[in-house]
Amino acid sequence: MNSTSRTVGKPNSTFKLIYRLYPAAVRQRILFLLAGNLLLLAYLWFAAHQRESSFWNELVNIAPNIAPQVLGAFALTGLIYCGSIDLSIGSIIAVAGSSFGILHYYGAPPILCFSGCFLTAFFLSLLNGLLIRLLKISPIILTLGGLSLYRGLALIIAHLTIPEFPEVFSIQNDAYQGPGKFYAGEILLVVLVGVLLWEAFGKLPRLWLAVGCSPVACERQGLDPGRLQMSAFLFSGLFLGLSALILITNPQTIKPSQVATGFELTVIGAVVLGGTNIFGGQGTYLGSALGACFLYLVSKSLIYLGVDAFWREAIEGAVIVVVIGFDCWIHRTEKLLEELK
Amino acid sequence: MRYWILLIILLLELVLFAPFSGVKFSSWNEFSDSTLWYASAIFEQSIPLLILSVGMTFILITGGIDLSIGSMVALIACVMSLTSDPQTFWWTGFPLGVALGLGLGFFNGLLVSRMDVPPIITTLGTLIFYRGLCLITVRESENAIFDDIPHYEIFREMPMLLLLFVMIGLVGAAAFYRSRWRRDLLMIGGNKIAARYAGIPVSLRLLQVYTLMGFLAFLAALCLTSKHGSVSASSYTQLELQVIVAVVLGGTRVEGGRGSVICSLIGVFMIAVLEEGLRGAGSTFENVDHLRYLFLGLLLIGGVWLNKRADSP
Amino acid sequence: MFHSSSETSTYLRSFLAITLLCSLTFLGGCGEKPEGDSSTANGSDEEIVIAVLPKLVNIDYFDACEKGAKKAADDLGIKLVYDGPQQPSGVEQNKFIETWTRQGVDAICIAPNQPKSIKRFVNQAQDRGIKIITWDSDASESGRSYMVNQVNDEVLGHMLIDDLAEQMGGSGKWAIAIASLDAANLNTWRKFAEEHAKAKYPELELIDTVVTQEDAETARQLVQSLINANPDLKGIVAFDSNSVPGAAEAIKRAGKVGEIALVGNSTPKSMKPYIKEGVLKSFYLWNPQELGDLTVRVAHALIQGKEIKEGTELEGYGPVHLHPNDPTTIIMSDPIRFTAENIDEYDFGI
Repeated sequence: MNSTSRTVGKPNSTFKLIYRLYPAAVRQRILFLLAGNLLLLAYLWFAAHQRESSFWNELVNIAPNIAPQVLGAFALTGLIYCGSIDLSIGSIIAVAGSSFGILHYYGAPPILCFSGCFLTAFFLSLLNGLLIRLLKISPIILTLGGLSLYRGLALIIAHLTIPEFPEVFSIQNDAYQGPGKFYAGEILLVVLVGVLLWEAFGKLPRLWLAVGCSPVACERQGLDPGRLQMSAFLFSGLFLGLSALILITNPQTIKPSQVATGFELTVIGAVVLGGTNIFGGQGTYLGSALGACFLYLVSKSLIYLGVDAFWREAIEGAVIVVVIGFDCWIHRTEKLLEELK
Repeated sequence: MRYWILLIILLLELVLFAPFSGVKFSSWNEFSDSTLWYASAIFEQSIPLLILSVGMTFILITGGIDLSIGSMVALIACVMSLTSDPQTFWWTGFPLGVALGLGLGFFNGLLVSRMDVPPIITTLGTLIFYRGLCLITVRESENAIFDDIPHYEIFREMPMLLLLFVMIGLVGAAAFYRSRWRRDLLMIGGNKIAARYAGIPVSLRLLQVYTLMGFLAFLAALCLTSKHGSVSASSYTQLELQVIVAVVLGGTRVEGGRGSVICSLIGVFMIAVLEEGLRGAGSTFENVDHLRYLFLGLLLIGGVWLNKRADSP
Repeated sequence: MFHSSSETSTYLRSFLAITLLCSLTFLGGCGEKPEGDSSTANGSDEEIVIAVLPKLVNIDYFDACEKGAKKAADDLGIKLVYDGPQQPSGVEQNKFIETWTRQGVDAICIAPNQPKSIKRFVNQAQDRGIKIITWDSDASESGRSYMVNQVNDEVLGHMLIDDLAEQMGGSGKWAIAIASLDAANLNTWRKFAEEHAKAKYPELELIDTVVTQEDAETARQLVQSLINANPDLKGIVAFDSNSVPGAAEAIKRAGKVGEIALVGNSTPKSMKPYIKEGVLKSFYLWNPQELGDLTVRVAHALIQGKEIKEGTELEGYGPVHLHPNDPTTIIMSDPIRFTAENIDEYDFGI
């Protein structure tokens, strides 16, 4: 506390504040992931060079390809900050996909379809927040129920509105595929810059972190943890809406029963890999983005390495275990000391 | 955690779904025969989940989670299916399976307790890793040696299943309820640092719990392979989700510090009855396949909510 | 307010919620009930009930099969039960077989995910007089009576490779995109294709296999990297209806239309734009509606005690053809080769 008040007024005070806001473990995890990502990129460059193919092609594809995962990770990061979670994001995306498909089926103009998709995801996320507040059920349980519930909802609304629904929406018109197909990378970069600035200068993420650290302490300070958690779901809905929009408008077919299955696990993997504490109170948005990028680059590198198809999954799993195990292990003593302070 | 609320829901489910599930009401004899058949089917289907749910309850009580159990069961089954001569299974494949179960669980436990990796990311990593190992061991083939192993059918027959259920579910739960071990786990889940200060061997307990999960995964693998006779690399996916849903429905707190084995067992039965009922209803009504998702979600949220209401009036 | 309520009202509320839950369940079920159908599967003595078990439900391919099966069932005046698991899981499928055995249906048609695991369940059902046939993929060791195969697996595998080799000019590097490495019939086709390529076209070099996890988007990303990592890639064989459009999109975005040959099995609706643009020259499929239709008719004939031989006339279908070496396997048709010229002629609904 003393150190922060002393630095106020100095030219670089804000950056110092940001720096100090994050515990050593989080800062080091980010450096660790940065190094890992750069290493993988260097390998890809080397491999592309060796195979006489273009590294640039691979590089420009990174942003559009990881956009849904990164935005999904942003959606979850804020929630996990304040000790909450949403396991139903994959199914929410399915419902958003269904509403997009239904609007498209009935000939709505593209902009209406896009907003339908975005708003569905947004409001379902908000609904999750509301239900958690009203029913006072643990978020993980409610959204575990939602995981199944919303998947059913996605199928039911499609079957109720479309006669003889063939279990798939086909969108074969580029006008309907703008955000996912053509602007995914741009959207991601804009959001990424916005989020990093917001994280550095905004107040809300820090309040969420505070709630995650100790709801009781927040209440004593006159903050309302319930409302703050609600606001986290609101922002999560915004990110999730964008993520859904990109994921839905990229391929030419939407299959409500299959779209984004297992998405929540990939995203949680990215968030936790990025140094965010799954029980709340600690983490960064930057880390989540780097985590998602790392997982993507690992799977790309395996293609360039030419590993046998049967070995790929095991290696991917082993890399995750080894990387995170190593990082946790080298910080173990520090963490124990911090706990005992 | 009032188990009678869970029991009431279970009973209502039974009343509602029994007519769809092949229970016949035309005469007393038919009724008793078909009910017995129905009940034994439910029991046989849920025994692997019952076994796993016990371990999962322990892990959730400590504030951890194990997402890798589906892959773990599959990997144990895959490795056991590599036994070249079924006659020698009992002294080659079987001990190998035991060792592997303990080893895989121990590996999870080691990462969680000694290296301090958060359980969710540890087991998410091993979920992928173990599944990848399945692909390496059996490749694209579907191995079906289990029907040729002498006496292997005991793991799908009633006496053995009942024995397992009683040993693990009831006796285990009762011993657990009275043990020091349980209080240790509860305390670790409640507050890990405080537990360390109180002199509880936190790392050791975590290691024990995850290793136990590995052993239970081995038992579940025995039952599943005995019943279904074959295994391939993508078998038993999403088993973890079924187990977690059942345990959570039983009222165990996901954040740790609270849970009951008996309630988890009831949770498994609740889900088994619901699923069996909807399977049965599928031949009377159309489009039940969409409602299946809806009911499972509603049962989970509704069940937990009711339980909570009754618990804190 | 919530906290001050007395114990009685808590119980009352609990009870109301349970009742609501159950009545919702019941209404939900009743709402979906088709009109004019009052008998249930278990009680009826007169009506024939045929249960059809797909690999999984809620996907386009098996939905099209269901439509065909329904048509046949209406035609024959029988009751059709079409239901299955939500994941392609053998364990879940066996539970369905058990349930239907208990309910006492007349025939079960299975598209097994794990062909070797259904044996005991098939035998159990047969002991109670239920006829069992397989369709879509076979379980030859299970003791099923007949298998309704959409195509001859070997013919399909060879056709894919012959087509690819012709487009590639008989030499060069090729790769495989496949939904999963151990899915029953995809794997059969993959094996026949690889063997055929090795035997007949020694100058074709298989360089890689990517697993697309039943998702067109994953397929696109993986194939994109595959193309980029191997600038001299000349051909791709994709085996399922998610991999082919994904691979086509990847080729299109990499700007390699015409340089990389793509063949595979996919649905006409999803491939129409690509084939019109010339991203790929041809792909293969059979009529899934006809497959569902034929499956139900074969099961019906079996229940009526008919013996099925080469050329046996099925009511409302025509003569059936058997596999040349296996008299219990019925081959529906040759695979249809879709090209830019003939794609408009077919409408399978998918």
